[in-house]
Amino acid sequence: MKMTIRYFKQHSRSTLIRFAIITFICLVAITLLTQGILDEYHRDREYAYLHSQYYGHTYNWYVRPGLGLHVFILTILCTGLPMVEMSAFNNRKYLDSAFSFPISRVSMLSVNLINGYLQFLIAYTVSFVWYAIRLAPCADKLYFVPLWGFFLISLLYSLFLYCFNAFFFSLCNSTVDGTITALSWQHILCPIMFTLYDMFDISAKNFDLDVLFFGIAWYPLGVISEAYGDAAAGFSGFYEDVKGIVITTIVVSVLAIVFCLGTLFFFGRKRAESAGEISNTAVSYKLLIPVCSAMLLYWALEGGGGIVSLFAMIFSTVSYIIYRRGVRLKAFDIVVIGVCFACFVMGLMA
Amino acid sequence: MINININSHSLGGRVILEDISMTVPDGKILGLVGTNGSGKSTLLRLMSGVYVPDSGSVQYDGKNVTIPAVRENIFFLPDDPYYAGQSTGTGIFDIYKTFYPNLDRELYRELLSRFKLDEKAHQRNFSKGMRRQFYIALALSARPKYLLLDEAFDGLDAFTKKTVIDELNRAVEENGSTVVISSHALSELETFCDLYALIEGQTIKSHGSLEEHAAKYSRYTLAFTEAPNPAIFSHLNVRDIDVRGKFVTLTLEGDPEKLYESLLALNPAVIDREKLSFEDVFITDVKGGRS
Repeated sequence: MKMTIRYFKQHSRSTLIRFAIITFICLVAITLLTQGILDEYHRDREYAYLHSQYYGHTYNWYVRPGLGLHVFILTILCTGLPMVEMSAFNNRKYLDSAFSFPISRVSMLSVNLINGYLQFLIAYTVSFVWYAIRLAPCADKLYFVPLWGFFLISLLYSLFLYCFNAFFFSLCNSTVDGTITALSWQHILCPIMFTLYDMFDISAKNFDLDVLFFGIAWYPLGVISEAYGDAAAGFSGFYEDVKGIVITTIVVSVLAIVFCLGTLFFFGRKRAESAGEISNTAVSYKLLIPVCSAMLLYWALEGGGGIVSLFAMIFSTVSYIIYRRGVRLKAFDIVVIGVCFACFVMGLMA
Repeated sequence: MINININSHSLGGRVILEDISMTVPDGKILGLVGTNGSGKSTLLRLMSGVYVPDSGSVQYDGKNVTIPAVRENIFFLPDDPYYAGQSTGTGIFDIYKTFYPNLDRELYRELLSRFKLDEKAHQRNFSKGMRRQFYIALALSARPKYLLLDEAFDGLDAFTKKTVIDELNRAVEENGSTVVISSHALSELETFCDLYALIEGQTIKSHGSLEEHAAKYSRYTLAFTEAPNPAIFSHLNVRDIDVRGKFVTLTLEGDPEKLYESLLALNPAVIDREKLSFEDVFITDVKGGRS
């Protein structure tokens, strides 16, 4: 434990500059965004007044648009931070030293995981507080409820996204490998969420618009954002929104725990000798490619979308071929191709 | 004491090491030798806990190397240590100080000044040899009970090699350290190693005292009045033979005195005996294994 604390202190110190840069960039982004909103508010106060009178508050007009930036910041940080925190573990030279240090692999990984998440947490919280302070002049008391509600649930969601990405970046053998695998697996969340929404009679919001982003892991967060907006505006379907929030929250909580434990479990068994090579694990390309093809079938049956699945499949296949330095088919590869082909044919028939 | 019992270890589906069984006593320097790709670095990684053997274990004073606390006494210096692009000596020292609290800053600075290295300089500006000097200084400053060095002399000049050897000897004398060092510089190993282990054909072909092992072989140069038939040496344990007309060079295994008498019985005009260097012994061993 003593060694773990020593390592945590050292690691935190060594990543302090990175943390300062991240926080600074977030604050600059928030400042620029809120300046636009404030300019608009000051330009047309009459409209703001009317808007407030009509909806009963100014949340939807002045506060909600900025939440998209928070979702963006959250997604970037919860992808980028686990990537950089885990990148060293994909370097064989680094592992030659790191794994000989008198600290357990799980402790070492935990320190990196916690350090990355703490940096996200502080940068994100500071940005959010700054956002609230900046918009205070043009918002009324009602906005605080959905804004901070969104903040709390987004933190929970960030934990899921962070652990999800950390799982792949720690398990994969190179950063490129991890990036392709993590991003490609994200879209698997979509059919899960849709199935759950169907089961609980919740309609997916803004289907047409979100088709572009289908498969991106922040989709549930988008649902939450929409739901809060509707709830604050007192739109009909409030009950449905609450159900959506609850279901989404439960799913991401369970997944956050699963991926966090999975990350620690699998990293303890990581083979240093495989670092830098193609991932040959249960979650790598051999499984990802047929899953992507099954996703394409899913979208074909749904009657739309699937662009992310298509890209994920293309990236995975190309990466696999590049890493393997050619197409040398083994028995399992033939099974994978067979599954993909079957999905393709079924998709055409659908 | 280090107890190595590795039944097998594979990399990429290929068996690299198997049936490795060896004990390294405390306070000794063991030279790990073998041809390129024989598995020296893999064995050192297994000994340091970087790799976990597919089957078997490595124990230090009866405790498995996979226990983190056991590794507090072990310092492993890989053949090509990692450094980040912006790393300075000070930064790397701080990282190692985290894991090795006993790292002696004074000794570290003393060694750096002896190697004429600036601790504040960026590692990327160091040559391969300078970087190796830096890490050797770091390893020695940790005063570990067990020091594992992979290709320690790679890229070092003669003066630095001498300094490193002196410091290793000092570490053994003053701290009672046990050193395991892999190297292709056999002439250097010969000067300061107590023990050796030869890895060949995925296993430890032979190990033990360097001096005793070297004494197993002797080389004779004989001159005959007529060109001899090589078959006349068939009753001897010949490891290497080179017949050039009337002259024969033989490397034989066995008791040197008895061999000398057996050779005299063949009536050579001239007979000369020479002691084999560790490098010659190594070549003889490897050749023997491959023939």
